Amino acid sequence: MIKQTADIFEILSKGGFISSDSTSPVIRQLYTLIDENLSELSDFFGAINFVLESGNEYFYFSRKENKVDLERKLEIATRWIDVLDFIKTYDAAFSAGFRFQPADIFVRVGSDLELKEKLNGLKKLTGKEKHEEIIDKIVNDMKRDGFIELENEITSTYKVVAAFSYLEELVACINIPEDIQNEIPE
Amino acid sequence: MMSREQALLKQMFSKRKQQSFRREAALELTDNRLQRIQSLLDHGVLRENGSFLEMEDIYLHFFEQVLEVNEEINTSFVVEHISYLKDTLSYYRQENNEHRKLTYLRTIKRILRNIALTTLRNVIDLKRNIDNTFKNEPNYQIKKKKLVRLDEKRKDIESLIKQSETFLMEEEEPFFRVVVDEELHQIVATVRISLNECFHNLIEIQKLIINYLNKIEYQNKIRMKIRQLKYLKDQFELEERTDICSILSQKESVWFEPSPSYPLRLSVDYLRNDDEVLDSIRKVIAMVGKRAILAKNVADTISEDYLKTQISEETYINLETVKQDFRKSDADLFTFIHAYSFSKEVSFDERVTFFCQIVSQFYEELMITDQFGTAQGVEYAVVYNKKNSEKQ
Repeated sequence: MIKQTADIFEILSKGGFISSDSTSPVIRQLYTLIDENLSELSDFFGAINFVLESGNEYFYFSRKENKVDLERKLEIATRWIDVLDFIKTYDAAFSAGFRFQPADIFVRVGSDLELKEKLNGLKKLTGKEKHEEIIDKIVNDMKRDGFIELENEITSTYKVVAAFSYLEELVACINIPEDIQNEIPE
Repeated sequence: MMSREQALLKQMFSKRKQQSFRREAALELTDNRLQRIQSLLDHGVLRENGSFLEMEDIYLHFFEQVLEVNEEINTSFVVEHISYLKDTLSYYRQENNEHRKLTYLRTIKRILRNIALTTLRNVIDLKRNIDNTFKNEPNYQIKKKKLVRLDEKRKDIESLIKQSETFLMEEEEPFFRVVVDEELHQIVATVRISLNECFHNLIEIQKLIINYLNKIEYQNKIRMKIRQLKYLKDQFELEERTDICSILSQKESVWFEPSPSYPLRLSVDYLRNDDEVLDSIRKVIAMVGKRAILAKNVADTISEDYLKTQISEETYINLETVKQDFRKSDADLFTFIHAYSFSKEVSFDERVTFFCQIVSQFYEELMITDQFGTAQGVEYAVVYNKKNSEKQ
């Protein structure tokens, strides 16, 4: 039995991710451990109905008899589409390995009308009014779900980790028929 | 001179990309002596550009090459070396003087070494620049263009390697075989090994560029897709016009689930047998106790004023006693009350009130006659004790 199995379960069973490029050495170590003992851990977690899934440089859990209904999934997915649209407008390179400071987003919102409009669109979603509060809420949500990590506390610099690819892959596999794509303005 | 102005040149080199080194800043670094800057300008080390100073390109490139930080990959050097080599070879063939022939041979060796070295440097620079561009270039469009341009450079270097190899192996192969010079043979072999190594490196670089360009393309596609999905979402058409519902139905990730909690019961055996548990229970009780106290609404302290005892005395007139005394007398009630000696001073009005109260309270024990009396302007019914009246 692998000693850290409980630690791995603790993170993954709450819907979290374990990324290879985490800022925490402990998480990086867990990633290597899963990578090296994938079949043993898959069997172990399989026995308690969890499927250990491996993405591009990250691991997460899924389970066959998922109790979540489609409505909740849709709600979560559409919420993230709004957030992704905002952060990709902030910087198209916002992806695994990207580093940013929330204060920089705030400054950019002040000088970029498109970004400002998109941020205003997130008011209802976040339940916040002020720009700074909305940005904080988005950053905290991404941090909570394990897509970004605080790399430098002093400069408040966040690093986008490999798990972010999960969102991108989710978006990539949604299919928009070509004729509908042509109808959408650039 | 160059060594004297070391500090200035170092600063100017580190700020070469900004291209905004002011004359004033240069003055500070030369102890405010204008003639020292002028001397650098006269010798062509620096040049003026408005109020800014720049390092001459020849020195700039020299430093970049020596420090291996150049961003520009210059393939023309190799082209020049090859044509120079061709010319020198023809001079060698036509020259009859053995001494001069030897000089040309030395030049040929030098050029061959240079070709190998420059190609190797180009490949190293290319790799470094590709990495730097992908990781550090913030502008997305520029990053893509730079990478495409660097890919073209790669093709240039590749074709130069091929040219050099053809030159060494095919065109002039008989010459290098015929000339009896051990050192030349060694150099040609080293150059060929080096070129071969560079070629292999270029294949790796090609893979790297393709990988980076693919990543950029992928990111671009994702960005486009997000915009399209957002548009459809805003039009309330997301579910109708895409397959999002079927995709999400297939996704069974725990990430979609609300945060779970696992309420577990404690083992009874553990609770019974472990001494440590006792401490834990004590702690829990202390915690729960604290919480219970905290939960109560604590009122403010009672003011000192409220706590002071205040004694107030009030004399109470017992009408029952008055009535008892009245039963012993024969007078009518009003006259009796008027003359009654109370324990305290009682006014006439109060005595009238007592009269009314006694009449109303003990109505059945009294006999109210039809006669009326008057005292101090108050008219009253004459009331007797029932017993007395019966006697009468």
